[in-house]
Formats: sequence, C-alpha cells, structure tokens
Amino acid sequence: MKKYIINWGPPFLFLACIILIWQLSVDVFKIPLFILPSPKNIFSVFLSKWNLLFSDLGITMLESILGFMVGNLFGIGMAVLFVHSKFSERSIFPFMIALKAIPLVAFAPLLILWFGYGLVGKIVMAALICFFPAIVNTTVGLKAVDPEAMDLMRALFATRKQVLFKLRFPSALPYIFSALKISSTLSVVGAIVAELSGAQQGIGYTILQASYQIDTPLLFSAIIMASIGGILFFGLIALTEKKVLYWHEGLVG
Amino acid sequence: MDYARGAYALSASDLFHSYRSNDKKIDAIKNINFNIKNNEFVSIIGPSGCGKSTLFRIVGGLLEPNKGEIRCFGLSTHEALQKNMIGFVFQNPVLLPWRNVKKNIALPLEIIGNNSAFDKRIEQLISLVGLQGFEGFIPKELSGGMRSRVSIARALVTNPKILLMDEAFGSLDELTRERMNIELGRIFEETQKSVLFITHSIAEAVFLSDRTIVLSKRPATIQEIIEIDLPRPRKIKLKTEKRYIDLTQHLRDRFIPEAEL
Repeated sequence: MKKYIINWGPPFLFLACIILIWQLSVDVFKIPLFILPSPKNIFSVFLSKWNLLFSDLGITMLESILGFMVGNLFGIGMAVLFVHSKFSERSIFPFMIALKAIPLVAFAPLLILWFGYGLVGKIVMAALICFFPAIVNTTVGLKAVDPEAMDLMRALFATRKQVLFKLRFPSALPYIFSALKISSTLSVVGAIVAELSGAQQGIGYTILQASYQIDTPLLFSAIIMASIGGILFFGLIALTEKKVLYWHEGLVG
Repeated sequence: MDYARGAYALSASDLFHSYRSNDKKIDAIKNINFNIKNNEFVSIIGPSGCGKSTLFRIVGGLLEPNKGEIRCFGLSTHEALQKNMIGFVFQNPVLLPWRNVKKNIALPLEIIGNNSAFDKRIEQLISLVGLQGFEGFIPKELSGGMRSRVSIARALVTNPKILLMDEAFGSLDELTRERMNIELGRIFEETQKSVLFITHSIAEAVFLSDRTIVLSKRPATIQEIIEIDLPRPRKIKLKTEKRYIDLTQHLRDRFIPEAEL
C-alpha cells in the first residue's frame, strides 16, 4: 500500500495541480468558453454526451483494431517471405524502409475518394500505418538470430519450418512487440485522421462537427475520449508483451 | 586401410582452409592431420585467433574445408550428422531463452522427431549434469555454470558418439570454470564418448585430456601432440601432482619461449 502511494502519489498530485490551475485561470481571467472551457465545464459535457462519445469511440476503436490486425498480419507475413526469399527481400525491402519514413496520413483524403465515407477507408488508413513498422521490425527480428543457434539447427538438419517456428519467430518477438506498441497508438491516430477527412461517425467526425459548431467543451471531451482509447489500446499491448516475453532479459528499443 | 580409418572416432587428413578478408586471402588452417580414438578425450589448444574456431566448424561439418577431409567412424561429416553421431557445445551456451531447462535439452529430440522414451532420457541427463530441481527454470534464472550444464546435456541428448566443444567454458569465471572442468571430466568418464575439446586454457587441456594437440599461430598447423598420461578418474588434487605441473609447464613453454620470461 505504501509503495502504491509512493509510485502513484506524485503524478496524481501533479495532475490535480494542473487541473486546479486551469480551473482557477479560467475563472479569474474570464476566458471565453469557446477558447478554453474550464475542467468543470468539460467534465459536465463529457458526462452529458457520454452516450454519443462512447459509441463514437467504439467506432473509432473498431477501425483502429481491425486496421491494426490487418496491417500487422500483412507486415509480419511479408517479413516471413523476405527471410525465405533473398530475391524478394532485395527487391522490396528498401522501399519498405523508405515508405516507413513518409507521412502516411497524407493519404487519408485519397482513401476517402477510393473507399467513400464508410469504415473501410479508415481501416485501410490504420492498416497502412501499422504495416511498415511491422514489416521492418519483423524482418530485422527474424534475421537477428544467434549464429551459433543457427549452427545447432543446421547440425540437426532442422527444416525451414522448424527453424522459423522454433527459433526465428520467438527470437523476433521482442522486435515485433516493439512495433506493436508503436502501431497501437498510431492506428488510433490513423483512424481519427481518416475520419477527419470525411466520415459519418466516430471520434474524428465528432471532433470535426464540434469545431464547426464552435462547441469547444465537446471538442475537448472528444479529445479526452480518443486519448482514453489510445492509452487503453497501448496498455493492452504492453500488458500482453509482459505476459508473452516473460523470458526476455531486456527490452528492444 | 579403410577399416583402419573407420576405427577412429574422428580422423582429419590434410585439412586446409582459407578465407577472404578485405580482398586478402588469409590461410586459417594448414596441414592438419590427426586421429581421435574411440573414448578418447583430445583437446586442441592454440593462441587466440589462430583458427581454432574454423577447425571446429570444419570438424563438425558446419564448414566445408578447401582441401582435405574429416571422417567420423569412417563416415563423412554429413552422414555422421544425419545419424546424430555428433553433439555440439558452442562457445556460448546458446540456450533458447523462452524454453525452460527441460525443453532446451529436449530441442534436438523435437527436431529429429524422436519421441521414444523422451522424458526418461531427459531426466537421466538432468541428473547427469546435476540440474535436478531446475527443470522448470528458464535461462534468465540460471547462473553461467548452470547454463553450461544445460548445453552439455542438450549436446548429449541424441546420444552422439562424438562430442565437439568449442571453448565451452570460455565465458565462465575462473571458479565456475574449474568446477565445470571437474564435472566434464566426470561426465566423460561416465558416458564414454569421444571428445574434441577446443580451448585456450592450458590447465583445462591438461586436466581433461588424454592427448593435447598444440596449434601454431595463424595459419594454424599442428606443432605437437602431447600425451597426457595422467590417471583417471581425474580429481581436483591432481592439480598439485608433479606430473600435472610438469605437463602444464611443458605446454606453457610452447606458447611463451623462455627468452620472453
């Protein structure tokens, strides 16, 4: 219990101070509602619009998680192909590194043109964002195998499948999880940006509507809701990593 | 002739190997000839970087030599590997960190698809290397010495006739290393394998071997083969006996000429 207070006390206190200063500044300087609503104001809107925000978050998370799964599945699959075919790796991998560096969210309006206002465009956006970290990290991870362990496998005439499942894939897991953690938050970003470019529902849609109507308290509430979604998703992946990588000595950057 | 060669556990003839480094051809090993009898413990000792590891990889069939050949009981290394006649202990224990002690030892059996008396064999090996009670531990939870024990057990699990060890205790601290030498001596005496043990420790070579092959600087050639005529079983008190001290002194002179002392 004491350890709990020592760990969580200071950040909690800091947050409380920030909220208090915010509340006081808004009250004292009489900042207009549409510029900066007070925490009290945001909180009451957050509660009254809870149903709307909650269903919006549901939509956005559905897009993010589906995109996350599709993007990572393709990324990891391609990496497995690369490791088994030098030719495909040599011809495709350099582009993957280059594409990883470009701001993929710039494609969002294009995806709206191609896939319309529905969920598909958003899922594609989230998947695209997840794809590149997955393919690059998994490729590196699958190849970062101890050469002596490879010798051991060779001496036993292990099949490619055995090498993949018994050696390469588990060795790559720390790298894969480091990509999953990055892309868990990025997938939510991708889905929201795609929603901002044109949607009929979702957190991004509500953010856009609130800004058109200069409903700043709703805007803040939507941002908070989106943050909760992103943090929970990241937390889930980080927790899974801890469970799966119990054997790992350190974390991969 | 063929029969005579087939009688040896390992027989190396005229091995030569070179590799390219920065467009320069570097000879790693040259004119290597030796025979290892069945149930014999032979160590190879040489200065660091002399090509010991190249020799290890060639003997184990992991590297094709430019010239010459290795025969294991008359078979090619490829055939010997296929018949699981060779067990490897590498410089590092190379344990798979996600597998516990038992599953690391079982790995070779899983790969060759041998499921007969699986558990019993592993149990025997765990007690042979003295790891009872640690079956469920993962490498992260083991000390360096324990990891070495696991890697020895894993090398023995397919019941090979030949054990190849490449500076197997090189990463251990001196105390653990001495302990592992005693353990390996005991395991050798109990299991009746033929062992080729690569090392750069004189004490280790003398304590464990029946014969020691001394390599020169690169390109590695055989300088001398020394009979280690010490009685078995080898016990730690051997290290204080005159014959042991003489042999280590003889080996030391090989590497450090008197003029430099």
